[in-house]
Amino acid sequence: MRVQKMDWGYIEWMEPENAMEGNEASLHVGKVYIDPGKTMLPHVHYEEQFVYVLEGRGTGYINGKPQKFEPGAIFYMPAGCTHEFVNQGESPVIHLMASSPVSIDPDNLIDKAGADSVETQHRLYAAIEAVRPQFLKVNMSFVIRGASGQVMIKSSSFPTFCEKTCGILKTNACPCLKQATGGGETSENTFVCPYGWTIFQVPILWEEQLLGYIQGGYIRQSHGRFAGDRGESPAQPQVVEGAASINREAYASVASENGFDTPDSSAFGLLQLLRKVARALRNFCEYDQSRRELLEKEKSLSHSLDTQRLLEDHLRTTEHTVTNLKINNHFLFNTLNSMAAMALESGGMSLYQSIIDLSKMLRYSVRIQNSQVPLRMEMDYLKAYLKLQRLRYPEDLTFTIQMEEEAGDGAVPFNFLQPIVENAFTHGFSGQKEKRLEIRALKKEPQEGEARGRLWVSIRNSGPPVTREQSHAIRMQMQSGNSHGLSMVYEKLRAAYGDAFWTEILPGDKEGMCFTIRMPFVPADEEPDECGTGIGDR
Amino acid sequence: MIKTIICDDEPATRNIISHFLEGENLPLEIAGYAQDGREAVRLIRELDPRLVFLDINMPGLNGFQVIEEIAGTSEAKIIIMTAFASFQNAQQALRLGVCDILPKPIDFEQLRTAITRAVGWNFTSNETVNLMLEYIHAHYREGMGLEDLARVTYSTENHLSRLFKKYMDTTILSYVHELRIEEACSLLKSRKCDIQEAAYQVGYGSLNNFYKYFKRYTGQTPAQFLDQSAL
Repeated sequence: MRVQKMDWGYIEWMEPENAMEGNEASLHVGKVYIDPGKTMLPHVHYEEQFVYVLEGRGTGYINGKPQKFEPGAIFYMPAGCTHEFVNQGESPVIHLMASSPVSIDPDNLIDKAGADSVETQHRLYAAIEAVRPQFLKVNMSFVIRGASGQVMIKSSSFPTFCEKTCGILKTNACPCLKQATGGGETSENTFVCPYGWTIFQVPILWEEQLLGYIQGGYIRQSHGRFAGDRGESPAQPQVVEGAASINREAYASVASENGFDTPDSSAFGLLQLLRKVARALRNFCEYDQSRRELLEKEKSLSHSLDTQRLLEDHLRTTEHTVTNLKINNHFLFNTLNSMAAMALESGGMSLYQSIIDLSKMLRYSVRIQNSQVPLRMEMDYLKAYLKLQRLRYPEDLTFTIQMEEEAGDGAVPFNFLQPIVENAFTHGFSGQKEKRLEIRALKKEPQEGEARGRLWVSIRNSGPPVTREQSHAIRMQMQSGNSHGLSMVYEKLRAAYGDAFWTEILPGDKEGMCFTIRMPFVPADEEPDECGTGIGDR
Repeated sequence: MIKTIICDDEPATRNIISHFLEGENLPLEIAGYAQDGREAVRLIRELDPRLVFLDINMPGLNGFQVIEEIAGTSEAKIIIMTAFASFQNAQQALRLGVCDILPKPIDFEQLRTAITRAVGWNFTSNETVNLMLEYIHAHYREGMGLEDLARVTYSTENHLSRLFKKYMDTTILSYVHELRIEEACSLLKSRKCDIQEAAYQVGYGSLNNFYKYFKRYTGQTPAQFLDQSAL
């Protein structure tokens, strides 16, 4: 049986000595003797305590409420409660005490829900924040320091002595905060500050990495296991630098007035708690790591799911469009047929011809949009379009289409010229009465180092000469990607040729604008099918 | 005149084709008009036309079914018409041996081309000349002369010669010889018969004449032609 001397009396511990050294300490039982007139200063129980009073009388304050201590009285004090005792009698108060260190589930210390809102990079900060809400309940003094000793967070309460003497809450000047954290070692460290307070340092380790230390305890022991003067104990605390100059005896008495002389069980309970907190922080890091990885995976999965959903939507819309087109086409062309017959009946030959031209255009545009066609077909389409435009401007519009025979065989994106010509009508002619269009296409032989020849297509319109701002604006519009008119042309050219094409917008010889496109010459299939692929796949 | 029937449930097609027949002097004669598949089959069997315009989408039997029904019993050339030509339609038409496909609304140029292909020879805008051409194409393999043509067209030989020259830019006889030699070439090329057989087939009684005209229109002797086509 071991006796621990205290300020206020002593404790006879009722189990073999080595029971306290294991890390998995659980129950401590002892007989507590409190000398007459002595006071147990207010302190926090970090362990559950069960007290059975054997002899003597006094008043105890449990969580601030006075309790009468007399023989036979039984008290249960939960972990975290404050306790104070005065022996007002003339004989010692003797009570049985059984205490069990707080079992805090380190996992419970982690506020996992809150962890999701944590954005800090530094793992330790993140872990501290996650664990902090639980600290407040436990009501102990601690400091968490980083791996190089810097103070990261302090608890909100410290022993009154520390607050008064070192201003520990407001500054970091206290020697305990300067105490080296073992120089990067990853083992526990217990020391006594110059003023006689025992402080534990527990490292926070994660994946072989030292994240920091949690430093706590701030207890006073005159003769405990962790007190500064026990030479044989394995947990021999170091004495802080500069301590030699301090008169420990003098301070010991000062401290004794200001700090509860802590029984070993309490001290041990505290150390256990600190270890558990360190473990909780480590667990958080592990948890956070997995959480991050999971989040990343979820993100990329949901991204690809989103993309897939978008594609499916597009596909469905396209399918609907195509189906709708098919249904309506029948109706459309039969109606046009009837209209053509009516035109002939009433002698309207030009009306008849216009209906035929319109049908040609419509038939052409019914193709699936990203197919490729021989340039020849594209030009036929343009011709039909322009003939219809001539209905609107019978005297004013003249156009010529000159295409080299060979050029007609080149594969080009479907419907890439009409928007350019249309642009001439909406902007190029600028309301001028006379409208002239010149469309040319030719094939150039391959040059040095080129495998294929080139296709040159130019569209020239009359009108006011195009200015630099205007041609710049047109170019911007083409590259805007807003899927309208000219930008569709650009997108189609890109999809078909990648970067191997070239467009130029210049003022014409004396007037208007000349739009030139140069692209690789790829021979087209004889019969373009209804769902073509990009050019250059062949 | 080529006997023709038009099968379409909508009158527009018939009106358009009739309009062009009259206006452009196409050598067709509209003998009947069907508005559904069953009637089409009946008319074809009854009238035995040389040319049939057939809409794909008709009530009763559709165009393809009509073709299958009359297979074997009719030699008519078929031109099908459709509002919306899909690849499937085209493929099926091809397999059924259809002569041509016309998209609606009927375009005159396309109509002309289809008829020319169906008829087999280039017709003109003159009825008499067309009559002559029809006869020539039907009988050039036999011995035939101007007097036959005059008989058929109720005209004089002189008149016919002049008319033909005007529209065809060649004399009747030249045209006939050309036709014959053309066919001879294709016969020789396909190895269907030897030189003598070929000459006989295309309507030359004497080999000498055959050689003469062959040389004139191809620049080679039949033997040389044969050799060359073997390469």
